[in-house]
Amino acid sequence: MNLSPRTGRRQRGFDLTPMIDVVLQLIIFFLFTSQFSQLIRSPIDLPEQPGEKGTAVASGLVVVDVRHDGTILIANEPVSLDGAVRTLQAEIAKRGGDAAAIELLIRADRAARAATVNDLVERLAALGVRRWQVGTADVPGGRP
Amino acid sequence: MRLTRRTEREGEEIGRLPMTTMIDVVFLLLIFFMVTTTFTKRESQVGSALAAERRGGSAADLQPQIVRVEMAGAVPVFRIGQHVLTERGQLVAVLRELPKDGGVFIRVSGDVPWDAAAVALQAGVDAGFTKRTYVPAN
Repeated sequence: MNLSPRTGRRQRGFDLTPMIDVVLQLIIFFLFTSQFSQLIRSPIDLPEQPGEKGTAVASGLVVVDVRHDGTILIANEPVSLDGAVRTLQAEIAKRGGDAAAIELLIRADRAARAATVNDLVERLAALGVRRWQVGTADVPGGRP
Repeated sequence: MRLTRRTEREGEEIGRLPMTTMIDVVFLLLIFFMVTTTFTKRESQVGSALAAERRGGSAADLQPQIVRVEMAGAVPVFRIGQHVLTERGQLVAVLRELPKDGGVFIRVSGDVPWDAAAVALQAGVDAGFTKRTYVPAN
């Protein structure tokens, strides 16, 4: 039995290459899948519909959320109907008073009553807003 | 000029990059992304024009194609002409038969759940209507 310490032989280190490969792959995966733009959006149970293909999210989009209980949120802050209209009036003023230039996205909870959205869009139509987008959850197939 | 190939002399170690700090940073990044990532459903949009409900109207007005989203008891239904439909597939099939030039009006009652309104808007897209107008009807 050889009990003498091994001398003269170089100790083999761990081969770190595959581990670094895997870790970098994971980082790249998380970088690509993280959607930071959606962090500012409140979690809403949107209607499950595939939506319109080829609609890009505009950078200057005004997002209005409607919770299932009818609460209206702008930038995650609850606002009244009048408050929402005032905020949108300010946005229109920022765009030189051109209401048609507003890119509006309404993300309403699927269980919310349409009355809340109807009240809001009636007021917006009176301001001159003519186009809007409805937020949906893009799930394969969607609700039949 | 030395043109001979450099050969590793026996016993000499090649200088290696210190990997420890890089691995530290990489692990920190990995943990950060693992903790902060939330897998949300991918969102999409359905666009439409917006119309305030008109009161009255002249006799000369064209008869628009209107999908009415209303409650029938406890269930939201889609009424178009004589048809009373409950599913998106049925609504798409009926809408596909209609001329597309005039567009489609989607008139949504206030008492329906928003899900039904989204179904009607989506059916307009699926049936090939480029002109879709949302009419709030509280």
